[in-house]
Amino acid sequence: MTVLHAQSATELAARIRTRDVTALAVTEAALARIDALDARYNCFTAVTRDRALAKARAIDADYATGRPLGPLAGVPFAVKNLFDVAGLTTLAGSRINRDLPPATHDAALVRKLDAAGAVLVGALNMDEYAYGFTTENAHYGPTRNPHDVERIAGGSSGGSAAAVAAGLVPLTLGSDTNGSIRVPASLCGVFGLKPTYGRLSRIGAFLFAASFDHLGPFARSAADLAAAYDVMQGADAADLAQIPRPLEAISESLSLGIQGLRIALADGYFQDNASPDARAALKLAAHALAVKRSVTIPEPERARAAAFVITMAEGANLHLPNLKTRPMDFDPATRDRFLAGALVPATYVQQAQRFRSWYRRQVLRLFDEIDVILTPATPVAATRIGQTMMELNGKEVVARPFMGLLTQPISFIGLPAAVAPIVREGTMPIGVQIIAAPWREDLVLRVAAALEGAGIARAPVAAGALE
Amino acid sequence: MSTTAAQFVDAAAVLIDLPIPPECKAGVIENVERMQQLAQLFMNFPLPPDVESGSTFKP
Repeated sequence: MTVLHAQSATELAARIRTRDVTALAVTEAALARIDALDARYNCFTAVTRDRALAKARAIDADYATGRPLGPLAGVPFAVKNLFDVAGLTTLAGSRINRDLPPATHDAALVRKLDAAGAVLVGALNMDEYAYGFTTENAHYGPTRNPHDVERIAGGSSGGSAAAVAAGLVPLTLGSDTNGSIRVPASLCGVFGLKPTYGRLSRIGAFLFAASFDHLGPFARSAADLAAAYDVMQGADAADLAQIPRPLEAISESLSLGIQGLRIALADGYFQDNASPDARAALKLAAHALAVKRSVTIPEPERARAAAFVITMAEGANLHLPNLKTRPMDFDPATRDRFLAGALVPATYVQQAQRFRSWYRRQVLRLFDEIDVILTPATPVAATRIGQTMMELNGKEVVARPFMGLLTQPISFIGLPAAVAPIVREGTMPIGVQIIAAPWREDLVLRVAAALEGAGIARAPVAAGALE
Repeated sequence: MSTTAAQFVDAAAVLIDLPIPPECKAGVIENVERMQQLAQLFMNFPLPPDVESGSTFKP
């Protein structure tokens, strides 16, 4: 029998449903692993032990009395610490937020997972206010990559990706504004899903740049992402960005495979800004899917620039009162960028937003001919903790912002995108980004599942976390 | 570090009443310069007048 921590969320849920194992045993095992291993990886900023044990006991009691169990009953999960968790202060990776009172309610998506029976075990480390791609947090320490603890986990949802890669929990939630789910998923070698902008409620999450903020799951299989996505859907009028859509459960569709899907590789910018390592991973995926065609996404460099500037302006405006009164309480990694962001001319933001409309129109036309686009998820695999510069195809570039080079042009217009991790012997993991038209999360996860089925994409528990 | 960016930071910060700590000044100017360089990519891109903002408001 596979050990509990190596099992996926859906596998654990199935074992609990058949009473092969109790929810309490699964929860206690997860808490014991967090106690034993988290000091090595620094994923968790809070462990909700009492809540988790009470929830697990309640699920076992429901089973004993014959009450129906939710689809994720007994599955341990944890959330980036920008999600409200009743009784915890929502840190959003900051020191400043420690002054806030504890949240009185769970965030909407935490409530959804809880209602599906999942067991919240804690909150996870991140870049301060989600403004970063490395999770080298000055206040709470860096989260370490479970595949090599000298390397970054990626960010800003670094704790969320690393906790899954280390087998501490099978399911986590993160946020993605410019790549903050897809970058850490790629670097930690786990599956991640950034749904369409406006699909899932963001209520109870501490936002960063609302024009681009998305929430989504990390897991060790495409089926787990689909299972979590399915239970997290639902209209929420309180979220101004949410677009009312019917519930569209996609788990059943994964078995359809890729037959009939028109898949293409993005060329130009998405190849030019990828290392040989990233291109090799993409080539493996393309070969497995028999992809023969390529597509040119128009003006991605301008799209990335526009996303960068809007993010600066929106993020800084959100924090302006604290920037004025207590700037030195910000993380040095975000402080100067936030201060500069407060000074962005309005004409830059307006032009960037108009360019966004133009770009959206051009890119959506591509989906008349193509269903799914593949790119590398990150230009390179995980860099070393503390590393400021990196080499990209013979050029020295600043490591932190360049990690988002391939994800920013996609979230800029809210397209759904998943990361499938390509794990090759002797190398650090790196992911492939799978992109589709708005609301076609089913297609991105069908492709991710196909890569998984072909043995190309997989998310094993990192070797260092196996003992 | 350009004089123009430094002057812009000083003037814009006064306009919005944002004190820039002296130890942050060089980093802020550097980030303003990066913003200015990146912004040229879309500021110099001609857009037809009927292209509206991607930031929409729903009443």
